[in-house]
Amino acid sequence: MNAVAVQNVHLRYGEQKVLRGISCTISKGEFFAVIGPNGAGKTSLLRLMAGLISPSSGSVEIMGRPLKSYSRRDYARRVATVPQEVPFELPFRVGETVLLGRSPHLGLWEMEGNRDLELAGQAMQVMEVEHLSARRLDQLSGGERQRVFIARAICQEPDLLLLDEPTASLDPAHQVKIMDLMDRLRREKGITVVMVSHELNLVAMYAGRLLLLHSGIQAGLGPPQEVLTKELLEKSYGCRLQVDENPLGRVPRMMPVPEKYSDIWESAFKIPGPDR
Amino acid sequence: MDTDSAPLHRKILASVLVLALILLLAGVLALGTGPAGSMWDRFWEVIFHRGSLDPMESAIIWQIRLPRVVLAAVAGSTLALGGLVFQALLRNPLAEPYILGISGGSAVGAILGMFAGLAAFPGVSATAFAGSMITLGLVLILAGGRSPLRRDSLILGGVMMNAFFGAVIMFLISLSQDAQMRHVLFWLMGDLSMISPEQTPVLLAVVPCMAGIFLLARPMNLLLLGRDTAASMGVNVRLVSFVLLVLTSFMVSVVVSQSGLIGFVGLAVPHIFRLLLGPDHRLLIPACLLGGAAYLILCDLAARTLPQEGEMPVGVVTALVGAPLFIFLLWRSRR
Repeated sequence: MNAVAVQNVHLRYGEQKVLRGISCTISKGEFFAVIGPNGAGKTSLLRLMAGLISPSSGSVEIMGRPLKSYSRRDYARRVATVPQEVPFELPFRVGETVLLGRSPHLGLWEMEGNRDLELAGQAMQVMEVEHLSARRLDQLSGGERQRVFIARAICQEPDLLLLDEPTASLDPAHQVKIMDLMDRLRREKGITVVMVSHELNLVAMYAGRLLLLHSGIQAGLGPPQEVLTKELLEKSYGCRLQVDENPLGRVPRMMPVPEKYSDIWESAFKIPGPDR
Repeated sequence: MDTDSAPLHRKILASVLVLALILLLAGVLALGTGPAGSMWDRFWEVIFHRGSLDPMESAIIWQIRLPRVVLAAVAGSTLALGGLVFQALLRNPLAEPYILGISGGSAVGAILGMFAGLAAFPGVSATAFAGSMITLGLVLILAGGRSPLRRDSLILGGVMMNAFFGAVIMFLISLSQDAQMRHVLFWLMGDLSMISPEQTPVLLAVVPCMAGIFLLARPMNLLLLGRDTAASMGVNVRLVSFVLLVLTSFMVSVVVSQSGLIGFVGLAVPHIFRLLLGPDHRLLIPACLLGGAAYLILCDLAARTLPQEGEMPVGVVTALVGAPLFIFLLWRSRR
């Protein structure tokens, strides 16, 4: 069974066509990345999967059931979302924030029990924030904050985890840490991870498959070697790119070519023939 | 009440017990004290053997002081809860119960009622209530449209309402005669002395609103995380926001129609309890209900007993006492 099945989805805001005919399936336990230039519709696609907006046409199935057939609470018990922006001024402490993840499993005024506290503790352990439990959110660094919000999502016990640019504005060490933790989560708990990202080199090393969007159109879908080609990327991003093989593994590595290096680039690297 | 590690239900129980005790003491103190003199020596006899005593004393307690204490309690808890809801809903620390224009709308209604020579009750109360309900409708239409209940358009809509009505109020005041003027000013500053025993049943209308808001404590917590996160955690954001907005506006309008515009309670009491108890609305809602009631009872007691002659509008006392208290707590928490 697929974790996500998106069938010929279109999304319009008034006159503006945000998504045009997107179709993809994501298997259970897959690490899936959505990439593309700003305004390509990545976040909209993620919001569709999160059930925050509905498509103008087409269908979205989650865990073999149409998204529409879930109640909000039911859905929140199976799918957790980490949005791009969370209000900065949050009065909660780290432990309280993570525990909020239990809300979809509790009645309106039901108190969190021992099991809920245990699950929150585990989620904090997985994301390596348990030592921050008593700290206030506004006292954390960007990387710690992001890990807390992901821990909150994990505490929801989801089968599917949706993340919108979880590594944005983090330094390389914290970026890798988040990605490592997501990969471990996928391997150890079988959680399906779907991530929107601009970090092409990073997702190339983690994601099993990628979806490349360009002005709402599906420009590429498949493993990194097939999607992260010079031709596809230069067309979608509209800039010169240097693409070669990552020495760490058999995945592509990308680098935009700045104007001041373009002469060198043209004479030294632009080799005619098939790109890679 | 520093019990950070204690489980939530114990924190709730402890805060409710302490605040209920404070409210009880405030109520008894306010019933027993007044310009007619305190009657502490015979107070309990009056309370438990009504009628068997001096009918005059009995009447003062049951006919004059009790309705007033009840109004102070209901107004205090409604305004404090209203401020708490709007601060969470609009995610704005400056939000208070009047921010969406209820104050302006009801004031114009009340002043027009006074000009028409209506009695305080039910006449002026009814026009004030009508004024705030019309405002609520206008704000909902203004903030509605394609994406209903966006907090920026709500706040802007409310601020514009209050600005417009503020101008209308000034214009009406400029037309008024001296005798009316004092009446109008007391109403604008908040005045609990207008209540009469037959008015008190009206206040029961706030109870279902409070119960509804009480049930929504957990969604209110989640709303603090932002609309998208709250929605992804199972909250019907649009419905919850709409219900909170309407329930709060309704109960605040009921109170304002009886007491005028008592300021500051709705702004400061939620902040005071947030500083003392933390951000969880399951703690804050009962605390604001009980604490807001006790606070306004005590402020009203000061308003009617401290001046040598007559009394001050209670709205003067709420800010005079509350602002320094709030600043002290803020200073202590930042240290």
